[in-house]
Amino acid sequence: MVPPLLEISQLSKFTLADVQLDVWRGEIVTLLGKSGSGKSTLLRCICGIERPDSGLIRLDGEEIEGPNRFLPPEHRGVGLVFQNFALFPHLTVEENIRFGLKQLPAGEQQRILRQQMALQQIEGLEKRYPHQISGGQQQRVAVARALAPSPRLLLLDEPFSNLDEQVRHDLRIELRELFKAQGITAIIVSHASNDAVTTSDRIAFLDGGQIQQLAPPVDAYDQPSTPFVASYLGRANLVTARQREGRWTTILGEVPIDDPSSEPAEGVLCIRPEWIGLERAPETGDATIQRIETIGPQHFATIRMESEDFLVNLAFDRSWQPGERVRVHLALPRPLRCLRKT
Amino acid sequence: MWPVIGSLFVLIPIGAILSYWLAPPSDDWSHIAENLLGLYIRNTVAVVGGVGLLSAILGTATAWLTAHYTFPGHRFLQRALILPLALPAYIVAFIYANLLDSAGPVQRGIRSLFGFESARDYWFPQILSLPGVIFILTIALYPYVYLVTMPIFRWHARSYTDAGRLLGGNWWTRITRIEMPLARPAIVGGALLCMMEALADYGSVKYFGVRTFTVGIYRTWFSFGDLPAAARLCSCMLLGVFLLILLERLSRRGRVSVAQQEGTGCPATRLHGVRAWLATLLCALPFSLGFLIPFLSLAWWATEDWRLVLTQDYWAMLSRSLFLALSVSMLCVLLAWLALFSGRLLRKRGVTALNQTMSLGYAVPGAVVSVGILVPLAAFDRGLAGWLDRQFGWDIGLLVTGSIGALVIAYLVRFLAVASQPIDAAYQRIPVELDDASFSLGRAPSRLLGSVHRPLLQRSLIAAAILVGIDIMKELPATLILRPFNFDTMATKAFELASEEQLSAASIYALTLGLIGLVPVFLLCRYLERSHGSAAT
Repeated sequence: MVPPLLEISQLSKFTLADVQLDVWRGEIVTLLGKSGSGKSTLLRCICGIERPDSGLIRLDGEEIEGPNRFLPPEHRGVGLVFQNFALFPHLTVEENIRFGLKQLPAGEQQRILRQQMALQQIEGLEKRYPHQISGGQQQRVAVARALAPSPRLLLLDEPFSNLDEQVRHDLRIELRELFKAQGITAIIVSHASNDAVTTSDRIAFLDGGQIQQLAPPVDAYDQPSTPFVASYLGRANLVTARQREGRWTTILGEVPIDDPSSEPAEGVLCIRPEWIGLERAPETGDATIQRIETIGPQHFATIRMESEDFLVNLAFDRSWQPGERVRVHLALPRPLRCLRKT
Repeated sequence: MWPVIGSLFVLIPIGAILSYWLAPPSDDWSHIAENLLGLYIRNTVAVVGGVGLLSAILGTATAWLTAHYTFPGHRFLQRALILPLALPAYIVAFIYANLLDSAGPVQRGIRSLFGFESARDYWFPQILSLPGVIFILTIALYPYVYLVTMPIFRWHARSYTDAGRLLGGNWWTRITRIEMPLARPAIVGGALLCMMEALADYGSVKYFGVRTFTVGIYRTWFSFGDLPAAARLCSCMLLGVFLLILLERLSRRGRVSVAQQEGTGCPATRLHGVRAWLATLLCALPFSLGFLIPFLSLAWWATEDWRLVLTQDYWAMLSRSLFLALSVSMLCVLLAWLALFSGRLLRKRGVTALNQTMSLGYAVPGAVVSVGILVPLAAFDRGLAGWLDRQFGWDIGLLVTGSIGALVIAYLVRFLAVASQPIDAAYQRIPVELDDASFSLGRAPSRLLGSVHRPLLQRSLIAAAILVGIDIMKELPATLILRPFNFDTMATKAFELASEEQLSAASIYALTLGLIGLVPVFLLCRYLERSHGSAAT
């Protein structure tokens, strides 16, 4: 069996404690977490500009950081796109991209330069200085510079944080397509769930110095493993569920549980607002709409049921009014999973 | 109005000096131009150029080492390398002259160690020489380069060097292609500051007998009493100052400032074995030469007969110096503050230009400022005395020229820039919207100044007053030229006693100045650490 491209085991540094992470060849993984969660520290340990207090890092089966060996950053073959891009301000775009190619013959350098500029759609900017191009273009140059020496692994530290919303949206789609087309293995650090969901094959949720869950975005959305993951990926109703005679029930109704045998008798579930359906029932309704809020084109209702409030996604339906009595039903996309306490 | 007043303080002396080119030259000037001008130019260029070059090398090398590596004494030396700024260069000069001349302890030690009978039996570098002055000024001034380049190597250029490393660049590539190009504007800026200080120096060159422009100006005024000739010499020197300012501006052009980039502050690499001790030695040497040895020597000499010096006269002079320095510094801070406040309210380019003119004063050497002030003041005094004599038959002599007033004006011209820099920096951090909010709540500009700006600027105003006060206490050439008869400050007394070879007495005054000079150095240290503290951890 082919081993993972990157293997991290029991890595500790500052807030990070015993972090485990495997990244497979050609995979895009996002380290998602709030500021101070240690995600940038982890990234800097992988590329070698910071050293962990303990732990082991292997790249392509080779130990690059561990009790017996420290491979300096310049010999790791790991590319990094910095948060502030760190484009050399005194060098032109062309000189920036060529910086890591000095050991190659001039013709080869030129070929790679052309190729990267075409891939990043920045042709014509060769002679410009970083301060003469836009933020989006700077980001493209930074990616081109990092990719030019063909690194074994590409790391991106908050690559979209300095960009405005439209540029950000376009770039994350483009980057994903480019990485997939070129077979590039990448780890992206981000605090924005939208960036992570759009670009990644898997997301590693970092909180309290540990990876809470490592899963594809859809799995993490449907079956978050902790309250932190549940709330980070979107709005969530955290509902208490009890097991009785092999069936799990909540105040909202009966729910199927993934692998119920391993779960305890009581647990907390994440039920997304769009999984709850409403039906008007002025006489027999067991819940009341408290308020309606509009976010963009969508509407959300807060309903109260037995003194507990739940959020319901009404999609584009504007007909609901506060005070209406309703009956609730669940439409779950797949079985749920009890949340771990963090 | 205030920016106009502030800039007039600088423009009037400069204009007065330049106006002498319109009058026919005096006989003394012909003599100076024929026999001395070439010598003054050669010596000044050598001193200024040598100090600039050596300070750039020393300041950059120590900054690079302390920013990238840790070695024995690293934390201490990182701060200690700034300490030479505490001692005025003329004091360091007189210390080394006494330490290294043939009767000094070093040569006495060599003679007794090797059994030489006299100084003629062996070779020893002549300290009282042009290279000697360059050495003294370099070890006294290199911290200006160190101070501006160290943060670049340690914090601002860090993410660029990390990027260079990840792109496979070795240490030599990183230095030559990333760090040096990024730090070059700062190195040049720091070196030019050293060169301006070297150009303005009077005490060291006079003590070492190297005839530069400042010595020439002083001599022309005191020996020949020839103000027009002194003014012409001053204008030659002004040309040098403007050349240095121009170079400084040019060095900034086309360069992207890296100072605004927030660095990541990676931990420095630990050096081991011989390399570590070599680094310690390299950083300890400039600190020892520029501060430790002079300070210990002063302390040693001062203990010899401190009882004779620490009399009522000493305390009277200390309090007089402190009072003068504090009162003028407060005046200076007030004027600079009002000028900057007006500039902020008006938000017009012209006002900013006036305020920039005001800060040129610091670049103009004290000797030039003094002559520039003497010219209009003497004209004013003569006019007033003549008018009073004609009208009332009163003979009042020169009213302002020989008074403390002239000295106060000179200090204002020189140090308005020192006061305005920290205040301006603090103003940059106060959003302009705060002013608008205050006006929208019906407050007059005076209330804005008093109840909004004053509390926010308080620390900077105090820091500015301290910096200016200490600069005034240390200022030598302007005080020597403009002080009233029989009026001494700590600086002039130290310099005079040193010139009269009264080593012990001079040391006590010099030591006092050195201890006072430590205050701004500590302020600088704290500022450096606070402004980068978050990045450093």
